[in-house]
Amino acid sequence: MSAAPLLEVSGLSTEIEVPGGSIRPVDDVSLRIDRGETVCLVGESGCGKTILSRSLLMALPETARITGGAVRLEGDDITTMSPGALRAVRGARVGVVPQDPMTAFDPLFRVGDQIVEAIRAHEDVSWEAAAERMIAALGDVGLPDPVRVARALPSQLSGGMNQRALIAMALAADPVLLLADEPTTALDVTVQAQVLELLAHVQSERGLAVLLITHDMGVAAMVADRIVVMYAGRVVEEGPVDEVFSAPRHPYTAGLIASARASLELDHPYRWIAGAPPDLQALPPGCPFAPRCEFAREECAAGMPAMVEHGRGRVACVLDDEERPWLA
Amino acid sequence: MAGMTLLKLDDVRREFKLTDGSGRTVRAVDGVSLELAREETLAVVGESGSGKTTLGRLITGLTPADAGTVEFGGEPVDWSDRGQARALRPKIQMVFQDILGSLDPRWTAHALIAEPLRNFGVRDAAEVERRVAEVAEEVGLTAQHLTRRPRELSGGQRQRVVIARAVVARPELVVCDEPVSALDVSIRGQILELLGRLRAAEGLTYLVISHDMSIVQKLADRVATMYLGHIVELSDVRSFFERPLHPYTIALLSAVPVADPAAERRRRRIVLGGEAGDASRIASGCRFHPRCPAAADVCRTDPPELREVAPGRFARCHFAPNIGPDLTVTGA
Repeated sequence: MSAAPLLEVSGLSTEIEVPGGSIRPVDDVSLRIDRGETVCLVGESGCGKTILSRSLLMALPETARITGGAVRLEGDDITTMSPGALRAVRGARVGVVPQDPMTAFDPLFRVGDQIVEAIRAHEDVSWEAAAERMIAALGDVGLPDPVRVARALPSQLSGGMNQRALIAMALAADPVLLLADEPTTALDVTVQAQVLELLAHVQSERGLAVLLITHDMGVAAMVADRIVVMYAGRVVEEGPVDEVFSAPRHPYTAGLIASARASLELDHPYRWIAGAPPDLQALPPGCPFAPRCEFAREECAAGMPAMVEHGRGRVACVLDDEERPWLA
Repeated sequence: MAGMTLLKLDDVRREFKLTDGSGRTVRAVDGVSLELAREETLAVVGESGSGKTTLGRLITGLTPADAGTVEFGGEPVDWSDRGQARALRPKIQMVFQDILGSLDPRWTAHALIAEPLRNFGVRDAAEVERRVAEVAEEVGLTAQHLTRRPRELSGGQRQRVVIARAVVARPELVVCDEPVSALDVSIRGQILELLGRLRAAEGLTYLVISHDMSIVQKLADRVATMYLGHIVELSDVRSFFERPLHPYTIALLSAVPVADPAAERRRRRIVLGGEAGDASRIASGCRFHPRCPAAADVCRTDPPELREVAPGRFARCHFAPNIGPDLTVTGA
């Protein structure tokens, strides 16, 4: 593994204009992804996961802008790139797997033609050469009859087949990083298992790095090498998957894991985190999780807790390990 | 009274014509029989195309059945009889999965919760006020929440409004279609706890339709698994999770990821090939055989019946209960 990270996000902030002011759904976020690594970004709706992933490609809605920080892909800062250079990043060096496979393709065009166009958008190759690669790409993602799939309209394919074809499209330009925002949320659980298995397969085959955004702690436990937990636009905890799941340091992470586990254990009582994520327009002073945190004390409201390193992880929380009863 | 049969379905069927001009039909619900006791919760699980949502709509009268009989409280149900429908409507309520779509955006939470009472003939304003306040408190909505419109409420609060609307007129049966699937994990726990509490407080019977095993786990007494219009397994909830009988149920449960990376690595996950697809192209023999790793010749030719394979447990599989957790057939 090379020393320079494949992707390095440092101090990134993104603001969105809303009636009566602006919100910061990405607030001073730093993270890195190494080659061949799968990082899962977890958190509840509204925590900033999706705006962060769109910031990484400068694919933001018009009302949003990056107000600070940098996003370096193999050393190149994406936030200062020209539109032409950005096009070479999106869909070529970074492949994107969308959330809802049934609406991601244009419904009016054959699936194969859309993949061919995507290849030709980034490379100066003939239609025939691109078509040959498209058929091979569809075969690589385990679609049994690539020629038939290529000729189909998206509506003639199932959700699972569309998602495989979209993964084929994302991989066609041989990216170094795959960005997948809730890629299996719209799929049935047996099909989710197939798609996650496919992602793990292409990842190990190609040494690809994957950033997978999910609200499902089970999916994160299944595929991640490292976990990044977001809350109210901030990274609150990060670490290797085994450490985060066996010894979460942030009360929010501990709560997410406990509620996900309790939900699948027959004799377990209900468990959940009280309250709801904060309104980004009316953030509390200090730690944004403090109003929901049963361990909050005065200093938590005074200022944002500093990021503390421990082992190979880090956490933005003032507690000591002895003050984390779930670790006992 | 608890234990008495509240709802009984006998060989209920519903087909839909495909709109693609092929003339083919989808057998969405294809001969479903089941009984639901008062104050019992039955979960119906299955994936897209299994027919579980159509089953809920047949029970609540939103979709008429083509064949079969439905009895409610011992009486045969005919939703086309307007007098009977009027009498039944308050007793059978539904919690929908599309929360925003099922709430009029112009109405306050208070008006939304009061509406079913007025529709079902409660004319006394003081009585409406009293019951709305009582139900609001039960579901955890404050007086301030009641003044807000759906878009001014959070997802969890909106779901509380939907649930309050369903229970305000004192129904006997509540059909919940994916009641928590749109919610985050922390809110989901709160809503599941609320549904459990209301069931006890109001003496409710639930039919819960979901693809989400956490809700089954927390609410159900019994579980029916559907696959392409059929019930393929019917079990008590503990047996369902601890020793599922049908190969599809075994695979379905093995596909649910658990929030424990070490357990995930140890786990034998059965990854089924293909998808259930649509119920317009049903295989011969057992409907699950094209995806079943345990399928034998008999499965390709003879459709299995839903039969009692262990006391109180039913499976539609030639080899049940002799299917192991890795889907091999054990000493039959």
